[in-house]
Amino acid sequence: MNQLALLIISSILGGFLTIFLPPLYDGIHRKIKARIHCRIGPPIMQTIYDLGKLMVKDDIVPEGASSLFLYAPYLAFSYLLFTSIMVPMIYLRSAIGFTCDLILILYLLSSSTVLLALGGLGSGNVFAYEGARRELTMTILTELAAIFSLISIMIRCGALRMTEIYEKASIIHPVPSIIIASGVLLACAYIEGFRLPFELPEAEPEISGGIIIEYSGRRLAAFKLSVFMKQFLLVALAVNILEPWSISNLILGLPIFILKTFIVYLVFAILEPLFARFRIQEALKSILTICGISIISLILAGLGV
Amino acid sequence: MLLITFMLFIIASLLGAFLPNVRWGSRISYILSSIASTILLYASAKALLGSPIRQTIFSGPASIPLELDGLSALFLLIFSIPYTLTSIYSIKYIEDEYVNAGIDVRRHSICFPIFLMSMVGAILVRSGLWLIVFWELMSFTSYFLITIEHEKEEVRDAGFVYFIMSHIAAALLIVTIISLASWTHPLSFTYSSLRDAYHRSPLPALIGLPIIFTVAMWIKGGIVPVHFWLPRAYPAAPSNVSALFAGVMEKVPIFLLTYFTFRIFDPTIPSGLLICIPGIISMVIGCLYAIPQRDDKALLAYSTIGQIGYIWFALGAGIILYSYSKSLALLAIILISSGLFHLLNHSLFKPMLFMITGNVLVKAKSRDMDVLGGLGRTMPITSIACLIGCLSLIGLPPFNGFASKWSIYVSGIASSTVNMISIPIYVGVALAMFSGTLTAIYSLKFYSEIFSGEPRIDVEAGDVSAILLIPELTLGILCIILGVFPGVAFSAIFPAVQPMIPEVGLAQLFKGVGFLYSILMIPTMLPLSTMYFILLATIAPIIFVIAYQLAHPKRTSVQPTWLGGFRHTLRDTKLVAASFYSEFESMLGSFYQIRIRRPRIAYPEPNADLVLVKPWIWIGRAIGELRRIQVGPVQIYVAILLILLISFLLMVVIG
Repeated sequence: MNQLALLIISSILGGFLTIFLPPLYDGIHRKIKARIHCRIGPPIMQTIYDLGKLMVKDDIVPEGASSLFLYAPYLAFSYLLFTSIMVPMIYLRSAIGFTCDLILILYLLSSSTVLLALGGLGSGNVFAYEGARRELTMTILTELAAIFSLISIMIRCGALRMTEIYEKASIIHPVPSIIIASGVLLACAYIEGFRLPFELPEAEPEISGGIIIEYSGRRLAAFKLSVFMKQFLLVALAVNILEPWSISNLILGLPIFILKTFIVYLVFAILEPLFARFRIQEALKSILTICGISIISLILAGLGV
Repeated sequence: MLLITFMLFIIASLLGAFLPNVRWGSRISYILSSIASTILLYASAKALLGSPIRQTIFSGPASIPLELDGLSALFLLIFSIPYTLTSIYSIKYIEDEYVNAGIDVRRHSICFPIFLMSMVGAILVRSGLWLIVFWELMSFTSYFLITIEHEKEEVRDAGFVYFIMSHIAAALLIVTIISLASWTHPLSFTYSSLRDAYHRSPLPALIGLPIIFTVAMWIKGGIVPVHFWLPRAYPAAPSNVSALFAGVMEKVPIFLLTYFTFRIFDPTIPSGLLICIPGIISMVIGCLYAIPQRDDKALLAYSTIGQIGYIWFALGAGIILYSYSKSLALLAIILISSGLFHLLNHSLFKPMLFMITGNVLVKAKSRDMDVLGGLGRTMPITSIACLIGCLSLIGLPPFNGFASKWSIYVSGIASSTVNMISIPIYVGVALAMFSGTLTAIYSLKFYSEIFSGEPRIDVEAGDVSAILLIPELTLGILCIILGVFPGVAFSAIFPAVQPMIPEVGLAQLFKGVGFLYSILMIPTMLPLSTMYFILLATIAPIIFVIAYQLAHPKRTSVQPTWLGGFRHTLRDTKLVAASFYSEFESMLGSFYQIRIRRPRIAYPEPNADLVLVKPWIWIGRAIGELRRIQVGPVQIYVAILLILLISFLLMVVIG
């Protein structure tokens, strides 16, 4: 098959998966959570319905809002959509995978976090300010853990580009440093997705939605979708490094990828009802522990294990 | 051409001194400085394009040999951009901020052109004696520039600390140059004879002189164990002077370090480590300390320490790789060039941010971020410029900071597969990425506390005047241009760095960059470049969103901000800057408390009847005093380090 056609198909497929899979997983997540709470719960498609409904609602803009408030969710969404083309999900020689590297992906992901926080800060609301402040404080440490684990992966595989990393990883697999590092990446994905012990930036009962308090309509949809996409991209990255064998299989690739991410989201969904929300100091301490684990993976990678 | 600019600077200073009207004196002084700087810009661009200038001013023993080629031309180009724009900015800024307030600015208009001239001199001279002269001139004039508001106590304090520290640096530099010159026959101070003298010198000097020289550069460059003058001096100085300090003066040590390491001393692994490891430390500590600052210029000062750390790290890593094996010359040259690219970018966005604090000072009369807020509505153009500056500082994709930081990361990680020698490099890259996140945090704080949200203080409507805005906007446009076309910068930097590392040819270098890292930022390869994709990715969705918004006009209603249903105003409820990262601060409390002095606990004297007990008490006290070296203020530690170094040198000279 033509290389260019593959490139176009796989990038479209990547973008499509990144937009539609996470809301579906969120619906499953809500269902499982409700079952554990002994409720019936919303239908699985509920999150997609919510987003669709938000798209046709009116926008309400607060008086004190700056232009950052208006454009940040869209910008974050477009950054993440571009990142989704670069994260190889199914076919090895997919998309721009051969010219891009892990650092660029990390950069784009953290840029989108920063943009979302800027949007919250731009609303002028004190609750949003508090939420954005928590988000940024937690991001410092989450980024540190993600950076350490990505660097240990790059050092262990001796490569920078995505394709080389996957090729190398599927040969040398399984090694402890890469397993630990991708585990840390999964933990980072959990934290970045505003899930329960770390749900501090939104914290509905406490600061009434925090960072998203002033958002409504299409902007709220873009904001929520961006959070989902960010989490999904981190999960996709980690899961393919953890289990790289099936990635280059053209036929089995897609179902196995969906299965892998589904298992991860299943674990997330079972984890969430077990926790109550942390206070910010507790959250920071537990993220610091994760940073420590990522340093262990860095040391192991340096030793060549 | 160089002689003309030097004369222009001196004339500007004289006119500033002797014109009876102070206001016109300062104006003419700055206008002449900006003209001279523009000539420098032209000369350096011409020299970079291939016609180097070598000339000697005066003849006889006091002749000044000047050379403008390669590295000097690159640095002169980097210097002359902030020179020109800051001079233009100063015309109006000094008038608004000081002349109208009745402060005597004559010392400022005398020293400013001489300060500019001394820094140009320091990078162009090829004689140790004149290097010392220009260095001292730089220290003296900058001291007078800092202490313009000398009736305030904190300004006097800051000036004093700065004066002492810059003279310790000068003393160490003089020690290096004089002891090198003492081995020349006949006595000569030109760099080429100093180089021969160094290679003839005894073993202790071979080891000691590079160390002493590097320590001098640490002090002037604001590197962490000896950085404490910097966060005091920057807020005390007027904004245009802080802009020059951050944009230009911090780069003079980097030039001297690069030049001396490659042309006079030899690049060795220890000399690389002496540059690389302090660079890593200042990168992290500068960024961490920038976060809790309240004063906006102190925040930028710590940020300068952090960003200078990036440059030192890249430079040191390059030297380590090159001296480890000549086969790594390609990697080394790319690392050093990335560091110099970051230096170029830093001289664009940091002066811009300092000028913005100047604008805020003119308008709102405050530097305290707890007091400022919501100025984005009254100063829309300044706030746009500030956003561009902050995004470049963070290093988001379409801006220049991204290109340079990214090439530092990529080339650093590429070297991490070598072996043990690259451990400091990959640890450095990991910490550099961490510092990148910290940079994002404090830059966002800087922007949001000053410009976003609801106004907290009353200022008169309208932005500041155009002369105060044009320099920032020009720098902002340059930031974006270099971010989109980083190949332009690299094609200027590679020819400047390559003569120092002759193992790699220029053609091989340009090819190697594209092949090794797919940086592919050279203009001829642009269609395939990653940067091109980034550009596409950033612009295409924005266009899409805007088009979508235009095509489907939604009903958007403006409602008051929701404040929990209470009748507060936003001004009452807004959180202040001090609360921004309080949790983070309390978690890293032990780290931030380095500078807090704890009260001394007075233990009761033991009942010392016995003569035998007394000596033990004295010994205990002596040990207690010794402990202060380690646990006391950092300054004592540094002072002892310096005393040891100087006594070491004396031993060398006598023995």
